[in-house]
Parts: sequence; C-alpha cells; structure tokens
Amino acid sequence: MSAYHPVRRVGLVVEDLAEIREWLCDCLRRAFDGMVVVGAADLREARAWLAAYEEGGRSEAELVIALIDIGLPDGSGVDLIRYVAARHPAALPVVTTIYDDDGHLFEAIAGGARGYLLKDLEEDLLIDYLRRIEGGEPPLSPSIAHRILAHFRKPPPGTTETDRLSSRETEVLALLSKGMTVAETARQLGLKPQTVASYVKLIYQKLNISTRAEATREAIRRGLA
Amino acid sequence: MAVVVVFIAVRQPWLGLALSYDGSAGGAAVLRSAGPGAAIPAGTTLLAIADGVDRLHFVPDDFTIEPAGSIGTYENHGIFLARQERLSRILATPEVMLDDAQGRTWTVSPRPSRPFTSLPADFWVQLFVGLFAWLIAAGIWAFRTGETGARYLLLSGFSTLMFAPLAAIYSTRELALPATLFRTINDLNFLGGSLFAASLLSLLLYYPRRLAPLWVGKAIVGVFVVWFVAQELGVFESMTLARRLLVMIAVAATFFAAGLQWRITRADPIARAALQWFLLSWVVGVAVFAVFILLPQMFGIDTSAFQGYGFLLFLLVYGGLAFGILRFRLFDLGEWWVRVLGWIATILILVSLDLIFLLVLDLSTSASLALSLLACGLLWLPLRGWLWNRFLAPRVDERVLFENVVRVALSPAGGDQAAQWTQMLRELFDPLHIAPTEDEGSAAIEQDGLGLVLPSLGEIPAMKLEFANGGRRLFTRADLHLAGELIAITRFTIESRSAREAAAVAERSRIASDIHDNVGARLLSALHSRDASRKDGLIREALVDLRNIIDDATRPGMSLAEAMATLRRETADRLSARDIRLEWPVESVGPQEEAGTVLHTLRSIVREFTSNALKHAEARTVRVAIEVAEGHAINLRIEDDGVGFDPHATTSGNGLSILRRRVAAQGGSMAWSTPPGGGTRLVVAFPARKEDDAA
Repeated sequence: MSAYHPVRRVGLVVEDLAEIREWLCDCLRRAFDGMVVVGAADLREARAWLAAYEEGGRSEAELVIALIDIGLPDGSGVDLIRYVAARHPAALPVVTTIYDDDGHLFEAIAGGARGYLLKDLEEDLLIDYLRRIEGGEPPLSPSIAHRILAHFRKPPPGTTETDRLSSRETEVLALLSKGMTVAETARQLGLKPQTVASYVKLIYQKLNISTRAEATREAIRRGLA
Repeated sequence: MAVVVVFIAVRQPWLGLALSYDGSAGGAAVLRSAGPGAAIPAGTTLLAIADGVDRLHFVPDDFTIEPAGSIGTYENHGIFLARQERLSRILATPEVMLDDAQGRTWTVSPRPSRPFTSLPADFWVQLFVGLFAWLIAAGIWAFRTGETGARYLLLSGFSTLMFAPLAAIYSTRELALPATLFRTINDLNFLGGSLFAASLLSLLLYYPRRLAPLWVGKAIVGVFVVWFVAQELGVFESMTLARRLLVMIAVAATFFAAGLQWRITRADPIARAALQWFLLSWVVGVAVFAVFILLPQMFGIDTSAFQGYGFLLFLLVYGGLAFGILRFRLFDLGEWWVRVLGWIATILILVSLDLIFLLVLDLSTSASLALSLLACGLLWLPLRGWLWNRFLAPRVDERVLFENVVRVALSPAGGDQAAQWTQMLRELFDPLHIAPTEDEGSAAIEQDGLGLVLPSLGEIPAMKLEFANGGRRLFTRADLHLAGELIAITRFTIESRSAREAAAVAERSRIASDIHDNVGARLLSALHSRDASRKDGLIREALVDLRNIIDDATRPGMSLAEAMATLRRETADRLSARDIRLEWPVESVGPQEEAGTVLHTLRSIVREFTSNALKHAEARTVRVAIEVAEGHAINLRIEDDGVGFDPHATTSGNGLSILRRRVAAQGGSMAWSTPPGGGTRLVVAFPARKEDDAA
C-alpha cells in the first residue's frame, strides 16, 4: 500500500452490540493512524451510510476497510460483504464474528471478504491481525482451508484455467488444512512466509471469482441473466 | 387317452373335402377341398358316392354331427349306423366315384389316413377340454383323496375326459366312421355325459356341506348306469328322450341342490365363499351348455354343429374351479396347488409343442425341442406370469403402503399410533372384525383363514383380524406374507426412531454437561477473580469452550483429523507467540474417522497442557503425538522439555485435575512421567469404543 494518501481514510464497523462496536472502532483507529471510523448498528444503517458515501464526499474520504458482523438483527452481513466487494473494490470487507464455524466464513469469503477476525481476540492481537489483513496477509484456519480445497477439487463445468488453483496454491492449502501455520508451511515448501501469505490472498480472490462465476452461470442456465 | 383319440381320428381315410348337407340342392355341398379331392371346386353339390361295388345317395342324416341329439329314434340310429358302415367301406377302397348335380363324376383316391392339419379347431377344443378337466379334477383329488366331494369331482373329470374327446372323433369325421367304432364311441360319450351329470349332482350333495347320506350319491350314479344299460338294451324307443331326459333332470336337480347349499351356508363365510365360486363357474357353465345345446335337441332343433365349441363352457367350469381354489381355498387348497398344476401343465405344453413341431414342421428332434423351448419361453411363461399377476397376486400400492407404515411408526407413541395401525389394517384387509388379542410373537393365520393374528409392535398391541374383505374371502399365505413385511418395516422404523431419540437425548445431556463443566466453571471463576487480566483470560477460555461445544453440535460428523488440525494450528499459534517450538507431525493428527465422544476431552487436555507449558514450564519445545489404534482406541502423548511439575502438588481447582476425572469417566487413563532429559510427559489412553457407544 502506498504510504501517501491525499484523501482521508474511512473505516466502517457494522456491529449490533454497542460495547463491541465501540471497541472495534477503537481498535481500527489504533491500527490505522488517522482513520475516520464510522459505526453502524445494523444493515439498514450501514446501507444508508454507504448510499450517502456513494452520493458524494468520495473526493475527500475513501472507504478502505469494513468490519462486518455476520449475524445482524435485520439480516446477514454476508449480503453487505457482497455489496461492498462488488461496489467498492478498493475497500477490504472483513468478517468479525464470535463463532469461527467454517460454513458462514466460507460463504463470506466466497462473497468477497478479505479476512475474518474473532471478536474474543485480545486487543493487541486483533490490531496485529487487522494490520496484517490490510498488508495482504489474510488468516486461513485449517477447516476453511479444508473447505476451499474441497470446493476447487470438483470444479463446475465451464471453469476456465484462471478460475482454478495453481499446484502451489493447492499445496499451501493442503498444509494449512492440516493445521500448519503460515510460517511452518513456508518452511516446509522452502518459501518466504510473505510468499505463502500472498498465496493465501490469491486463494481468497479465486474463491470469490470462482463462486461468482458459478452464480452467474447458474443464473444464465435458469434464464435470469 | 388323447394320443388314442388323435390316432383313431387320423387313421380314417381322407378325401380332402369339407362337406355339408344342402337341403335345397338335395345333396352334399363342398365347402372346401384339398388333398386328394382338390380337383373338385368348392360349391359343387355331390349327390352320390360309389366304388366298384356299392353306391349310395347322400341323405341329410349322413352328415349329422351328434346322432344322439338329432336322429330321433333308435330305429333311425340303426339305419344311420348301417349307412355309415357302407360309406366307410366305400371310402376304404382305392378309388371313389362322386356324382355331382351336373351329372359329372369325380374320381378320387382317398388317402389311407387324415393329416393332422385337416382336423378342425373344434376337434382340438374338445380334446383340450377333456384333458384340462381331468388335470384339474385329478389334481384336486390327488391332494384330497379322502373327501367324498373330491371323489365325485374326480368322477366328473374322468367323465369329461371320456365324453369330450370321444365326441371329437365322430363329430369332426369327414364323412363316415365304421359302424362299430361309431357306435362304441358314441355310446361311451353318452355314458361319460351321464356320469358327468350324476357326479355333478352328487358332488353338490356333499360339497361344501353334506346334504344327504353317502348312499344317495352312489345311488344317483347307479341310476345313470342302469339307465345307460337300459337304453343300450333297447328299452327306449326315442333316442333323443333316452339320451337327454335324465341328464336334463339331473341338471335341474343340481340347481336345486345348489340352492339348498347356498341356504345352508348362509352363516358360514368359508363355505359360502367356496360355494360362490363353485356355483358361478360350475353350475353356470354346465347350465348354459344344457340350455343352449342339449335342451333344444330335445325339441328337435339340431344344435350339434355348435356342440364342439359348446364344450368350451366346460373349460370355464374347470378354470373357475381352479381360480376358486386360489382365491377362496376351495377344497381347502391354496396357491401352491395351482403352482403344482401349472408346473405339470408347462411340461405337458412343452411335450405337445414338441410333438406338433416334430410332426407338422417335419423337423429333427433337436431342432423341434429347441423351437418348443423357445415358444414356451417366449409365449407361455410370460403369459403365465402375466395371468398370475393380473388375476391372482394381491394388488397393493407399495408406495402408499410404505407411507402409511412410516406414518404409523413415526407418529407419537400412545393412542394415536395404535389407531393409525388399525386404520391401515382396515384399508388393507377390510376385515369384519378387528380387536386386540394375546401376543403370539409372530403373524399367523388362524382357523383355516378366518382370522389373521398380528404380534404387538412397541406400543401397538397384538391384533386379531377376522373375516377378510368383509367376510367375502379368507386370509391367505399372501396376506400372511404381506403382514409379515408390514410388521418388519414398522418394527424397524420404530426401533430406528427410538435409537435416534435416545441418541438425541444423549447428545443433549452431553452438551448440557459440557456447558456446565467448562463454560459455567470458567465464567464462575471469572466472576470471583480479582485480577482483571485473569478475568479476561477466563472469559476468553469460556468463549473458546462455547465455540467448541457449538462446533461439535453443529458438525457431529467432524473427522478426528479435521478437529486435530484445528487444535494443532491453535497450539502452534499460541506457542510461536512465545517462541516455543511445536513438534507435532501433521501425519499424526489422526485418520479421517469420526472424532467421537472423547474429542472434547482430548482437546481440553492439549490446551491445558499447552497453557501450563506457557505459564510455568519454561519449555523450549512441546511435542504432541496422537495415534488411533485398533478399534478406535486413542493414545495421546504430549510432553515438554521444561522444568517439570508435580501433578500431585497441584490444587484441586487445577484444570488438569478436572480433566483427569473426565478421562476416568470416559474409561480412559492418564499417566504422568518425566521424559529423558527432563520436562513433563503426559500419556492419555482411551480404550476401543464399544459398538453400542456410538452416541
């Protein structure tokens, strides 16, 4: 990321519990110097803010990160993640959750999330993870790695070569799915940890592209698009 | 018998003419011509027949089909037979002259024998009727030798075998038979018919209920035999009267006996059901024959041309009898009986097809056998199967049945379940009466098919069903089989459901105890902790526990490898933050099998050990190995190279001492030791899981 930002960087926190929302906002401010942080209690508030942001003010402020809870009172945060990923490609949608069950997380990553964070992390650790995600080092738990592997193992008909995982990416996923850390994986493959992290980032993107293509194909098949 | 009949029929000389007396033309009209007489065109009226010695003008009686019914008197019969003798002598000569109405004379050289193909369809019909009747009657008698009814049935079958094929010989003769032969077979045919009428009447005196003393039946047969002898001796002047009157009286008496049986069996569904079919097939078939073939003859109407086909009615009679046995256990015989007969019939058909191919197509033995097997396989067996399914197999919509069974099995135990079960039985068997009874353990037919007893199923009591189809039929083996299937499916579904419910209860109690033991204990500790950072740590641990409990509950099929991978990653992250090395080969995280009940304990032990290593041990390396041995026995070895600690010195509130109790509760063992070079080693072993411990 470039060190110089001519406009003000904005972070969005969508979280229904007020204490946690405040805490996450604090963490964002601490992680990214000079960031303007906006809190929203539900999807409706978040959408209203995004609409206003899209109307104008983009020249002065730029949305760079959005921490979104999955279970919101008026719907699923995954919908909002899809929206942000599609309309604001420069922003990083990040899932903040209390439960790391792979079903929801996989769906969120496929929807365009660039990372996920557990809300019971210690503050320093959370800030560290936030910086890493922003630096292109998204986390990937063994069970998520497992699921992504399974997803790419049976590519739907019509997938192009670019939708698929490279053999290196598959290797990385396989080791992560067995419970190895990024550092251990790097050592095992004779790579730098940063390289492994960049593979993880690519895997995130490919999952998103692959599932989006799948959804489009399905829509075409059903005559919806 | 059949072979003798066919033999006699084909041994007669053959002109190749199909003749019929034409009253207006005053001679015999040629309907079709073939073989030796092919030169004579159809439509020619032949007036006389002659050889070198004898010459005869045709008279109408020469072409009569059934002399007993149309010739009138015994005097006429004598004249008729004398002319038949002269005709057959002419036919036996090498050259026969036929004079037609135009004055032409046709010379024909008769073949010494008739080809099979010239025997008309009604010949075969009569032959087949005789054989079929005999097969059924003998088949019933063979299994019920002691019963009076079966004996008379046997007699009727025997008499049918006598009268139908014998009638076939003379009623389909080309022109004439030698007088002695004609007279013999014609008389025997009458004897057969008499015995048939007598045996039918006698049968109804004893079946299904006995109406008269045993001597009455014998006396009836005796009267018919005496009558036969009397008419042979020339006591009667009118042949029509002699040969028809007594038979018609017997048929009338049969109706009377049938009516009597019907009245008497009013209160007895078994006998009624049997009689119903018996009467329908037997009496109706015979009565139609008597009314349309025999009765008109008494009034001088010649119906003999239809007599051959009229015998088809007897096919209906015996076919109906066989059907009655199947559906209503006539003579207390069941499906198996028809199978036996079907088997015999198949063999007969195979042999006769073989003979036909051999004779007609002039094939070699092996080729004809192959052809008849082919015909049998392609035509007869599928037809037989189709007939079986169409008429005899009970038709039950299996999908609806399955839905019903599942509904019964899955409905809440108690009143409703038994009611639904009863309802289903009602729809299936339509019994007159259904009531709980004593449990006998398995389904059974009682009182020869009057009742069907079903065992109890879970909460559903044992049931006794009485009078199937509203009393119109009896319970059969097929019903018993169906009931057996129903019970098996229902029992299986109920048991599966109970097992599932038990598993769900076990799972719920496991979740409850996990929440109580882990989350509850940690939150309580956090509540009373005065140290803020310790408070936070305890709450985080409670959340981790909560997450695991939810994980286990939402993904019960998670493999041990998957669970251990997550644990390995978590442990590696925790240790690497403090620069402690983890040696946990990814290969040893366990195979792809279901994690089972000990997973939670295993995970807690690794976490607790790691926490201790981080806090107190000053370790540089932590080593973990998990092995799954034979029969799901799990061994965990975890060690560090720290300062070591005395497990006995730890307080009772220590996490590991809580875990020790849990391991013991799950049948496992925990052992502390010091590895070479110092540190702490913990070995935990869980024994092989028992099969029934799947929950």
